[in-house]
Amino acid sequence: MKKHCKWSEELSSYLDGELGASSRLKFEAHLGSCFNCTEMLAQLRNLRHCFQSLPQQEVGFDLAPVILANPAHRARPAWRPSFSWWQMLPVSFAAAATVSLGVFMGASLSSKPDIGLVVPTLAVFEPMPPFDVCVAVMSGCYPKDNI
Amino acid sequence: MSNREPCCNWEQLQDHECVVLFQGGEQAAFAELVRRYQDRIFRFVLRMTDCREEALELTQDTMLKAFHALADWRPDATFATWLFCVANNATMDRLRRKKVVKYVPIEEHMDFPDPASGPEDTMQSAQQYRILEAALQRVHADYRQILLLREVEEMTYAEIGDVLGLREGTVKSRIARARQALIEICKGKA
Repeated sequence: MKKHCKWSEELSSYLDGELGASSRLKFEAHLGSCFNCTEMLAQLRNLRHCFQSLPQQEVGFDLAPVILANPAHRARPAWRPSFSWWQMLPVSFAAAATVSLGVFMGASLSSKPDIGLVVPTLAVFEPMPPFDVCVAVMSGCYPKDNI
Repeated sequence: MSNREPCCNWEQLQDHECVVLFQGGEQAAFAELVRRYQDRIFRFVLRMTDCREEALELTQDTMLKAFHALADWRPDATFATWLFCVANNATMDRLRRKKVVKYVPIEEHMDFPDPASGPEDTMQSAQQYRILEAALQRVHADYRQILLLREVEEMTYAEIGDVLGLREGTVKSRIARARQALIEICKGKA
């Protein structure tokens, strides 16, 4: 509310019945002598009346069957399977054995000595032709006309 | 509900009783809650978004979220304020994502009556309703939501505080500012 007097901020609360008893009595006493507050209160009451008379739109159909038939509900089972610890024992042992076997095999492979594989590197983009080719040319295996 | 007769007079049950029944597995109790609140939620969302299709979608989303969350719900607040809180959060998220600020022209200024005049001068015509609807779309969303909760849903400041997560003092001052802003828009000053 516009501050035309110290009570102007209380107008809204007074209209809503949210002022305490003593504040309400003081405000009502003030209303009798303040034209601005009286005018503003009338405007607020009018606004409220207008709000309460707004058309009441409706969904137009029962939404409940739509909600309850939603696939998202079926995807969420109401019954949740429960397992006892002893029912999970075989699975736990099998998982532990699989992991242990994997670790053992990995360790045994990595402990063997290196075979010493030498991977030849190819110099593909060297400016000079490969040695064998030069020898072949120089030795006359290839006729010079074909080069 | 396996060893109990299904309840036939759902209308006689309070909201919290329906919630308890639903939490016990009675889906018809939730259906009753949906029927009670679907139009109220729809109207609130419709006036927030100003789009019927979007309002229908958001109302349905609200009910779906309620369906999933209600199993773990504890009655710290009433069911109504909790449901409006869910609806309001969904609506504000949608509005924030869209980041659309609608400009709704107001053709004529709302004529507030002279305080000395009688009740016959109060706004009752359809034209005035249209002006108010248009003004609502122009006012800030924070103001719109709080005005709708107060003036249409007739919630107390404490209930509005529960819905919006605000203290009562903040609710009080925001409602006052929202009303002032709406009146100024209606009068063509904003």
